[in-house]
Amino acid sequence: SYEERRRRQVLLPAAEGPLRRGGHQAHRRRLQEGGAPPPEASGGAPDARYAAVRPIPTPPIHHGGGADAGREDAERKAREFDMDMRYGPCLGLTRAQRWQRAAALGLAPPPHALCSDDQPCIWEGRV
Amino acid sequence: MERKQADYSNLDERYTIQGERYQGQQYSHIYYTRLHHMRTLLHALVPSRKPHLPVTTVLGLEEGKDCVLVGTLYKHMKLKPSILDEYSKERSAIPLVKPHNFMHSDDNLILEDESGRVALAGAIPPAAYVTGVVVALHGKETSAGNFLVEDVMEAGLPPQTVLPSINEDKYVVFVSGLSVGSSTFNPLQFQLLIDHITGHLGDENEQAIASKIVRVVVAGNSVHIAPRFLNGQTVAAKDQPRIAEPIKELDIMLTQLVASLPVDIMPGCNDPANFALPQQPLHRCLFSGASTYNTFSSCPNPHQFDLDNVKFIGTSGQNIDDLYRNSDAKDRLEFMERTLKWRHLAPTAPNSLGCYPYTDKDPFLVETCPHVYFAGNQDRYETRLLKGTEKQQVRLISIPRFCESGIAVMLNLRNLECSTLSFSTSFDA
Repeated sequence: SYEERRRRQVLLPAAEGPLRRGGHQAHRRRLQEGGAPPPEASGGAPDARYAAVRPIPTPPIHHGGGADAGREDAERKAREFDMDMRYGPCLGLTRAQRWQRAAALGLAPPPHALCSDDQPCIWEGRV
Repeated sequence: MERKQADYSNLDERYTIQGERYQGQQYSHIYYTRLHHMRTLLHALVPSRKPHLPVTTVLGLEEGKDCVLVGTLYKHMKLKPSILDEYSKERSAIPLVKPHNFMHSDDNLILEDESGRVALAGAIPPAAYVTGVVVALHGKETSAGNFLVEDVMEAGLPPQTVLPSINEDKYVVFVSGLSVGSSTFNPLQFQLLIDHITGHLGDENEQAIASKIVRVVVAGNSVHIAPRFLNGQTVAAKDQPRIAEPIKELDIMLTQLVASLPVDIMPGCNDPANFALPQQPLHRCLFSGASTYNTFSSCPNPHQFDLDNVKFIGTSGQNIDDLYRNSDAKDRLEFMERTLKWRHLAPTAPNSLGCYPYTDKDPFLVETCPHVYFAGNQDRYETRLLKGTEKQQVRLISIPRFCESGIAVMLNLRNLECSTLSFSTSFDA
């Protein structure tokens, strides 16, 4: 069934990410919101898998700064671009390179997701 | 007597990795570009073969509904050697001595795209396919959760330009597996080949034929360095000059050839070049004598070129040997035929064949159908004219190892006919 296949989703041989509680969908939501990683002591004994993960750099949340809101919005859009399956895997490429590749393959990626700097994707360093 | 000439253009830019910068990427990108490219192709071809069927992704499958799926095949092979076997504590089905062929009756195929994977059953024999091939499958999902295949649609031979009409006989000589420096190398046999091509042998008729040879292509494994020099131990000072002896000997022989006609030399699995495909051209410093001539061309593996607008593409044989290890066919030419129909020279790369992790392209995709497709270092000389559904004609050539067989292949550009040049130095052969 659809739900079963979604849960069994496996990619061709490549490194697999650390599994978090709540499954794949919850993880996507967490990353797109930019929240902090789950604390290691939650739910009983600290899990050895989580101990190896570096903390997610969270953008400082200021209330009432227009430029900051714009940056957060751009970051959120860039994360959505990273997670979009249509443009292929995002690990190992900077966002700009992945955008150029998508444009060269004729996929018409959204122009606002093009970053001019050498920013790696959301998964870099965590997988 | 003057030697004939032919217009040569080298099409190897896609195989050079000069501009590539490795950033630590994995192989997922090369699979993604391969799937994207082939899927665009197959989506254009499927409506003409199966007009009324919807094309879906793996996640969009509905049970019992007839549809077409496009994805990459993955063959799960029980006997495929894994680095983890060394750490396995129990005795498993995998024998300690690795077999030459990793097929097993329990091998099963799985189709994968970006959304998911599904096990395959039905009219798709695992023995004929390998991991990395992109196909379109017509079938339906069963209640058991796998996809029952009714029909397999490969991309088929790519479009081909018309074979140019050449009015005179012009020959190209293919040779591979010279293995200079090995115990099976016979210097007199190689010298006979060189003397024949350069016109120093035979009477006027033979010299006339030799004067029509426009190019020589050496398809890999030209040297053989003794394994005791390559096992990681330090080589004693008195042995160090011995490492380069085979290459120096090859250079001396090649200089005789290049003084007479253009020569393309490709690296093979035993040559001093990189291991992963596409193998980069052998460095000019190895050929201090031959590289001073402008007729000397060091080419990558695979190698693609045009001679008088006749399109050639070929490898030193690693792609066909890897297909032989992972699938079954009645002869080597059938493997070559399959790679053309799948429009990919080396579908098992990077799964079981070393390959550079490209991020934005897959250089082994075959976009236009060649007129001549050759693979070096094979067991036997075999050749066939493959005919496609849209009047394509490809001359498939399996070049045998010269050190074992003494056979070089001669191809006539005018009509794509093949013959052999066979040299022997024993009277009872």
